[in-house]
Amino acid sequence: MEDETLIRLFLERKEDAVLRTAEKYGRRLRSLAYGITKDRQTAEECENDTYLEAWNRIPPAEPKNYFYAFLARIVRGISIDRCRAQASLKRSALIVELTEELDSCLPAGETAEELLDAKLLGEAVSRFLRTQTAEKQVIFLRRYFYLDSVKEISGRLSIGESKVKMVLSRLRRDLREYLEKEGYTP
Amino acid sequence: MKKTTFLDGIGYVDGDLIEKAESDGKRSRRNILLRWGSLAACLCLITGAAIFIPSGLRRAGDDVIAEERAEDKGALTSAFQAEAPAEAEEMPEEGIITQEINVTQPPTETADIAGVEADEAIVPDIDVDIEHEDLPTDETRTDNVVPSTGVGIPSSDVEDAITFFWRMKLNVRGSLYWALEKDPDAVYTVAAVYRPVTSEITDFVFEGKTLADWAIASYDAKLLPDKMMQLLKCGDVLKYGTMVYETGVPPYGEKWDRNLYEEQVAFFGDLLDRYIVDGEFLEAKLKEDIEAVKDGTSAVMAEADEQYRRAFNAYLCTYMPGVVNGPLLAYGVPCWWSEDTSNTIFLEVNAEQLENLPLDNIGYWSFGLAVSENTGGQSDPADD
Repeated sequence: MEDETLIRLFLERKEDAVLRTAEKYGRRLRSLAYGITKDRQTAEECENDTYLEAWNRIPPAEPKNYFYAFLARIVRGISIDRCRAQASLKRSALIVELTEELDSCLPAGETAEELLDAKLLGEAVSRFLRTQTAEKQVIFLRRYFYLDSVKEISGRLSIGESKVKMVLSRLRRDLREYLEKEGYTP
Repeated sequence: MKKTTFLDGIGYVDGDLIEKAESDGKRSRRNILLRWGSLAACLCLITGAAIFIPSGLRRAGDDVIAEERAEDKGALTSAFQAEAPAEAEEMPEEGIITQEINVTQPPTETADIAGVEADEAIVPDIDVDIEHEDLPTDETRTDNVVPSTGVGIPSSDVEDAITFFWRMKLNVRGSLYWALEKDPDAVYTVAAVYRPVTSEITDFVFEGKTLADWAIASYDAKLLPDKMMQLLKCGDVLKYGTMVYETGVPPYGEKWDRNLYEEQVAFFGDLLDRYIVDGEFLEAKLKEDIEAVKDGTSAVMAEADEQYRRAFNAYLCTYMPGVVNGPLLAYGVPCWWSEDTSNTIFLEVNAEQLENLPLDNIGYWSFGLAVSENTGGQSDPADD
């Protein structure tokens, strides 16, 4: 079923919308959630919460373009929140680690909260990524959106782990410079 | 208010970039070694699953079956027929109510159990015949059957929805507990219900299979339709074998954690062999089979359940007479059992005798106060 049709089902408040969405994207969303939480049951719960959240957001949202990305954002956010809330998942350490990694990209003295809201930050990152090669985009997003490990990225792209680490390091540095140029300097 | 972090901000990266990062970057070069290595790993997993899954299911299956069997009864009756093994593991201290039901008063009036002489009550005509045809059904099992003595069904009063771990030894239902508390010297007609873990009983064979096998078969029949529906969702990923966690799979490069993949392989077991052949997912065939199973689900499950019940009742027809004619006879308390009473033995005991009953696997037994057929009342201590 086309995304547009799915969105229409949501807009018309048809309960079928959730079922059809689950059929089309459930597996990918569950996989994404599992990659973050590393817990099957939690991943399934995150997936279900995603449908509910999508149901609540549409309308007014109408994500006719990149509907999967819309759902992926939701399931990612829910999964990260679960990890933060449930120390038992043993993934909170990763979240903290990645948060610190990314915060190093921010201009000195700023926090994301002080700087701007998350959405504007995301837009700035998008603009930055579009200046990078396709491979670097994938490496960055696999690490910080999908929360893949360096090893997983290395295996996925058939490149060495050291290269992945180096690319990430340079990307963080470049992103920091980019944000400063964009006017985010303290 | 939740603190915003840069990690949260990444969640708002443009959609096209997110989708691109999921679909791009699949490993493009796959050499022959990888391909054959994947196949070999697949075979190892399937073989391993074939060896190890049955024992895992055996344990897991019993819990499910026990729960479902209990749910078959009404709430009060099922509460009376306790899942003894589970209770044995989580037994509360004496006097602690295991379910939150508010009972403030002990039973009051008790009914007369007329015509039950002790001599008549001892094991009347136990016919141990494995090939019997008229096995008890759901409706005629234990708790609804009144033995020929005229006494026997367990109380279904509300207090029997409560279980006490009486004197740190026995699972005792509320009606009996209150009666014992009221007058421990009186003799009560007690229904002793036996609920073993049937999936562990491998030394009893019925029609060529052990009782454990029948229990597992019943469990599998219940699980099959759900499994098939689940496979429909992820068969087109699992067909790629170890690629699923090694390199990701087309068209989006979706990649699973290895543990998730292995859990799925173990869960689906033989179904993978049936519906993934030479790397192809036979989705159409699976859909056809699901429809067939849906049409016949109730019949398949009912048949498996009935077979299990037949096997269990046959087992009882061997086991229960042994208990009655063995340790209980030697113990010297009046007791009786017949095929009609299924997994229940009736005893005439006072508190002390009950406490010291010489039963093996005492955790598999639960005890309640029996009531008369005509009055539905409880046995009268004064009668003795």
